[in-house]
Amino acid sequence: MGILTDPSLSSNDGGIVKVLAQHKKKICFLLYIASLGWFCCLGMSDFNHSAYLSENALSPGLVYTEITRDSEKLAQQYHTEFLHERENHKGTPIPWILAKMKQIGLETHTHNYTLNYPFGGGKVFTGTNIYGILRAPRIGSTEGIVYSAPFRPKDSLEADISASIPILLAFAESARRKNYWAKDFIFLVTDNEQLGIQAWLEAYHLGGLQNDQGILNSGSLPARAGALQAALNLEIQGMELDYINVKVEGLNGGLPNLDYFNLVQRITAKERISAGYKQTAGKMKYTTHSTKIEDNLKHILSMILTQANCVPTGNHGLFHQYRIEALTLQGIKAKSSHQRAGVLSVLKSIEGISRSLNNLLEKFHQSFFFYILVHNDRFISIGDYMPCAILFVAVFFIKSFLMWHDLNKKVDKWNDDIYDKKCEGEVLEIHYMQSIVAFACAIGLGLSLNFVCKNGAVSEFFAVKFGFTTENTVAIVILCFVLVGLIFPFLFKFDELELKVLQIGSQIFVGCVLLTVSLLNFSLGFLLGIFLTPLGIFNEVGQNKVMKYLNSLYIILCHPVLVIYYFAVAITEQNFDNLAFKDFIEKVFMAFSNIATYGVVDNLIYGNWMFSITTLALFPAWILYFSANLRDWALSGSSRKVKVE
Amino acid sequence: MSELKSIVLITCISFTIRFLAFSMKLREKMPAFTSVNSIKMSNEGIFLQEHNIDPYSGRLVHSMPITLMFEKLLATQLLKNVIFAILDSLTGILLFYGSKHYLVWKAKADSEIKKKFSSTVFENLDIVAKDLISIPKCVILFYSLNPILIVTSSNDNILCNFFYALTFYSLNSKKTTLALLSITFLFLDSIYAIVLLSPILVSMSGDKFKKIQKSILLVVFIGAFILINYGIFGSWSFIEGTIGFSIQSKNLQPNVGLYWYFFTEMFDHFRFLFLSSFQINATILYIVPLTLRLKRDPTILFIVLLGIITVFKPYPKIPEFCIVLSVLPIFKTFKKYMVHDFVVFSFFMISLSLLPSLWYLWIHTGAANANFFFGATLAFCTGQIFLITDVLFANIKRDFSIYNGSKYFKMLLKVKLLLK
Repeated sequence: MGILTDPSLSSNDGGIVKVLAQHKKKICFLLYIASLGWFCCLGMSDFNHSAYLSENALSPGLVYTEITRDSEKLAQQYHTEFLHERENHKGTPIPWILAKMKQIGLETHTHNYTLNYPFGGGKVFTGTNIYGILRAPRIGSTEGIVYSAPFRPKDSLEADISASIPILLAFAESARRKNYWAKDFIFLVTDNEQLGIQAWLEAYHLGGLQNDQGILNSGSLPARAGALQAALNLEIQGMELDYINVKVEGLNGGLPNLDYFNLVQRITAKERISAGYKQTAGKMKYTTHSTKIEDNLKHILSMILTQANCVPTGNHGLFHQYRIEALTLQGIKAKSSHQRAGVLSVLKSIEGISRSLNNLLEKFHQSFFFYILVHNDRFISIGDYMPCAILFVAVFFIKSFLMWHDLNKKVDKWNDDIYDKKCEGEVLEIHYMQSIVAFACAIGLGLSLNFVCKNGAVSEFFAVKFGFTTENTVAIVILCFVLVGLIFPFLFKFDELELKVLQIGSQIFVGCVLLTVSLLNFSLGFLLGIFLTPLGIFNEVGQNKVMKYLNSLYIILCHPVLVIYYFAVAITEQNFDNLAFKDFIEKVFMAFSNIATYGVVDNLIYGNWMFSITTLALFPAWILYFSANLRDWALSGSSRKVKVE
Repeated sequence: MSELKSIVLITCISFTIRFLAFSMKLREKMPAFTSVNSIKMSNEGIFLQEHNIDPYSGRLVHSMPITLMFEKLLATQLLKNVIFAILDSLTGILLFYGSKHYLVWKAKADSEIKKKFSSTVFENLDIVAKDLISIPKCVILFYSLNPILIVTSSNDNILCNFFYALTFYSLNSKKTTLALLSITFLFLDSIYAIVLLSPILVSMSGDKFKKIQKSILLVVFIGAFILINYGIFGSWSFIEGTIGFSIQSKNLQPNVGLYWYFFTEMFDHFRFLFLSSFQINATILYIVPLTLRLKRDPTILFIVLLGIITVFKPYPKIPEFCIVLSVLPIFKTFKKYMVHDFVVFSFFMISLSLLPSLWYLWIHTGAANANFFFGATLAFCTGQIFLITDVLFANIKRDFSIYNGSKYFKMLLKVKLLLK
């Protein structure tokens, strides 16, 4: 009861508040540093755990693999046939795949889908997925596992993965002859990269999660195989592999269960394939984890950067939103003649993984869903990395807590008279009306930016009237809104108290956003925290001039659109060198509009949150901080400071 | 600006926002965090009844037969949206007039006490003339523009909120029979509303006999109301579906309450013991002490009891708590003593932003688990309890300074009350 009845906890003259108020800059700064420090410590072996399998049902590697050289030969035969078909056939060699699947004895179906591209005047794309179901002899199609392989045309810009489908088929052929499967296997060949898998998943789940948009018409599936437990996506580049890279990051930073990742690690190690998360050629086989903090930190950072952009790294990434654990095995082709892993060992590992998954009695539910991989056999769990985000969030709440007290003190002195006079004659007579309206307007501006960008009609209008492309329209709409955001502070005339209320509101808003984002996608939340927390620390009325200048500069540099521009500049720098200044600017603008358009389209088709977070949270927050800062200048510059009576 | 004009303006705004939100089906898209009467469930009930299936047989529907019939009468979706938007705006108006009556009464009661004890003026503790308009205006604004309320309240919640507001209004304007009638309506939705009889009895000026009379009247009302429902529905299965449902609390679907998590962990043979103690906690445990303590101010008693019900009942609904939140401005008289305002506010902000995201992570992607969501729920409930406690202690402090004069005002701001 002590906490509830003790006013000193949050009253003006209480001990805690006094201490906080005296050292607020130091404390907030310390929290910021502590968070970064904690993050650095995560690389130390005391802060991360070694990987283990907590789901006993998986029992990896307990069985002898039964796949034989015959399957390897079959895969090679399929590969030559496939390459031949791909040469002669435009698009997916559907008849060939269908024929092979039927020959193997699978229940074979095709799935057609249509994408009504939201921009560009009703462009329509179609695609076809092929899948074969191997019905489990031991159960009545209540559970299933998906093995998928994307089809990539030969002229694709991405790496050639021609071996995936042959290996998939070879595995299907050998699995067909076994009688111990307790889960239906779906062998799925998708096209159009992630679009295909998204359409298939939506169709499998009867319209899926975003069925109300009418953009991706996912069609219907003739057959299903129960609740999907897990999915394995294959991106095998050739018949002779150097190593296997395991990709885990999914849409919006979703990750597969850590047990699944560990399972793959164990099985591939058993088959003597060098495999791992962010595996590179340089990494040695079966090394124990590096004890060097720098190496670990580098590894953590690389995972954070991949996870933070919310884009899935492979087709597996779209499964996570449907509660299906999924990852991609990316087999990297051997460059030299010295081959490290052949088809047989890949097939053996796929078989091993399937036999383990076959043992599952319930959905993956043990182990961790929120983790950061330090190394292939070490990870950081949510309890260990969350303090970083919480320390950032604490800054915002401590700051607003103190501002609230300041406000109360001032209000006591004023005794509300000024506001009563100010409000007299107004219809609603609310105190701090300006700040509330400003807050609502900022959020409304974000909402309308979100709405306008996602609305195809706007781009059509611009396209018809001025002949703009979709990319340019999106970029121009965004720039218009940025302009409105810049004018925004001049529409309001806050006095000191209203400014304080506005600041408290924006601090709490950003605090809540940070907390929520870091729960949903820690990497993004943490990166945002690194850049947003200084805003929180320096957001204050009546500081000295140097601080104010620094603060203004920082706020302007932190504009979400500017941040996208930095990326655009970086991309352009990398791709083109020795450009004239004018060309460079043009290229940067193009890169910027491409990034923005991808954001919108990804949001519409896949439900990527990056665009929503930027428009609904970061953009309004920036406007609020910017207005507070600008008005603060105006207040100290002029005599608008309200006299305290 | 005249009072009427601003009420009309606010009501119009409130109606427009609600109508737009209902038409855009925002309520269907939001997770409602409740096992009872979310918008989907009431739609289910109407659908089942239209197809001649007993809606209560599936343990999904918990609306009263009379509300089901009411919704069925409003045949089209458009009409439904309009009527319920109007009802919810009316709730705001009822709260406005209720709090106005309260403030007038409170000012009078205060001046009488001050005549007896001390004649000092309390600048921060008194109700002044302008408060009589500005505070009720705050109340109606808080209710009308609360975004959480708009996106979480189903049609059933709107009806219930209307009757809660009606109780609040009739309690303050001393219309006892009306108050009893609205409690009767609330009773079938959740039996815990019966607790609210206590502030009504306290507010009556009559003798004991009259109070007993009124209590019997309530029982008669409830009996009659149940009979009416039976007449409409034609079977007794609705008793099991409405009253029986919240007494037994068998449904452990996650919600913002404290029961589901506890009872999923519970061994079955302890269930009865803990269920009864939980139910006692939600109903009769606090009535007597709080009534004794707050008998001079039945409205505060009403709000505090309502707050306690909404925290401790098995299937709490966020819209109900929004009523408590919206009438908070009437506590302006002891606002100075409510020291935890910021803490409570941030508790609500954090938990309300975490609840939907953790719900998504747990129910949709399956990555998080029950503990995450319950953590946020616990924070939400802790915030509510902090708020109620803060109100109670602040009220005690205000009473003390009213009786003992303003010299204690400053001192009391820092005083820590101890329970001994």
